[in-house]
Amino acid sequence: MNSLQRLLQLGLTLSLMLLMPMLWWAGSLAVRGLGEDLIGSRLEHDAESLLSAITFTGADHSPVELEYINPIYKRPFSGHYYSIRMADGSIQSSRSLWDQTLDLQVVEPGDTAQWYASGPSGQNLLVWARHYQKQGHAFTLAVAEDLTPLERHLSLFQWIFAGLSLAALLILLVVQQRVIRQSFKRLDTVRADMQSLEQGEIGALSQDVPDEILPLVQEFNRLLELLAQRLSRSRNALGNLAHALKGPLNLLVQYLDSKELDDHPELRAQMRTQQERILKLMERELKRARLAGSGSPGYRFNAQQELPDLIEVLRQIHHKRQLDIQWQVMADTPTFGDREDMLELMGNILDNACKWAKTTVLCSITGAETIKITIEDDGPGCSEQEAKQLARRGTRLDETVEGHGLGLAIAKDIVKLYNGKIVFSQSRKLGGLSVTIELWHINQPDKEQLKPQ
Amino acid sequence: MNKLRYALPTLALACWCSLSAADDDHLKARALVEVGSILPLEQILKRVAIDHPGHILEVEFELERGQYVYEIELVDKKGVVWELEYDAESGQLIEKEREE
Repeated sequence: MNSLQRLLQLGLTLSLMLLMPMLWWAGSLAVRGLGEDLIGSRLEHDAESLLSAITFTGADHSPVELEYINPIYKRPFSGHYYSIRMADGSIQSSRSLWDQTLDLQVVEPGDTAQWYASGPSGQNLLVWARHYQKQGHAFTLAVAEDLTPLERHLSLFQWIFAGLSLAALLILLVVQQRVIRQSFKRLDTVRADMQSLEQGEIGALSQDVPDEILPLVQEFNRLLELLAQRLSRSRNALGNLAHALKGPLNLLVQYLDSKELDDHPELRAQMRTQQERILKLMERELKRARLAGSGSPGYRFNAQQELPDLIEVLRQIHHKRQLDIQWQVMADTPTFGDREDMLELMGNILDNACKWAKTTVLCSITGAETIKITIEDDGPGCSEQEAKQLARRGTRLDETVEGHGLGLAIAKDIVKLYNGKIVFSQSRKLGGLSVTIELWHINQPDKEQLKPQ
Repeated sequence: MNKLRYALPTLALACWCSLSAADDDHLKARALVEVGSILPLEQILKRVAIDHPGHILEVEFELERGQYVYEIELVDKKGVVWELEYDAESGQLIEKEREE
């Protein structure tokens, strides 16, 4: 039972199935009680009319009905009967009873009684009786009426009630289903919000949602914020560490120049090499931190907005060389990839290009389904063989230029995460290295590959 | 006033006599049913319901040409009043006619 709709329907059906029979039972009881009360009081009046009509004649003790009695007591099996039981046990019945007898109970003087009896032609009778004394005779007068018409009405009422109850149940279920569907439709906006969030169009889910879902949305937004904070904190942490290590490292460099090491030039050279490596690694981390900047997780890379900023950062890093960095983004290029990943990818390749370029670096982004990124420089470039070598991790073609081969390796890793393609070749326009990357903008990083290795 | 004093009992007696002729037939029928020489009215009415369904208006029990008969007056669904005569001993329909 994992559907809220089913659960609600079950609850409604069960409660109505419990309630309706109770109402049906109570209603039937009330209708029957009302009918029998009415008939009972009429029987009492009839008994009194009969009593006034009875006169006792002569010695045979037979009461005689006068002409004033209702003819209904004369028509055989009419449904209205009376029966008079004298003190000596002799019984005289209405003509309507014909050859049948009424089931008579003994009623004590001053008492009245009411009971059910079966009558002729399968009739059910309500009998009202009282003990009377008139003209010196004591007798019990019982008056009866057929309940069949009342029972027919009651049965009709019961059928109508059952039918209406069933109809009401169906209508309620349909209405409930409509209400539920209408309510859940409002969840679609939350889903649309989540898609926008994934596209990087918004930073948090809209809180204009039904009250019941608001806590969930709020919790989601809080979690989103927390994740963003954690991510930027961990991204900044490496940068901060690198920055903090700079001071002690500079001290170590000064120690290298001390006279005590003059006797060991080889050791000094080795230490200096290692010190330079550490410095470069640190600078790389600092650069990464600067490139990443701020931003939320889940934001997509918007080339139109982000590329100018990235290039500005690179210009500052390489400001001594007065490079001409040109860029071009097709107007309808969609957002693609994770912002952080793309910044690191482009940053690394552009940084590499800036290092090798003499004067000019070109960067262009085009495509819709497939995003094509091309970064060219007018540096020395590479041969076909060298291009193949570049594809291997950590390979460096020239050890003399500042760098340690990690930049391009990281770029290759990111492209691999997105199942993209990276090609190194000779630039036709500028003659230097040309790096072409192809990514599918709908693609997300492969989750298997994201696991720490 | 004197006339009225005689007239009332006479009228009452006359009424009783005329009524008792029709009103007492059930007593005779009851006695005969009890000794088992005729069929009870309930059985006759069951046959009427098959032969000629309708609403029973009146039943009379008479001795006709040495034969006990139930004379049943009823109105059918179309509102036509019928008079049926049944042999009280055998329960056979003797006569059936529209009441004119």
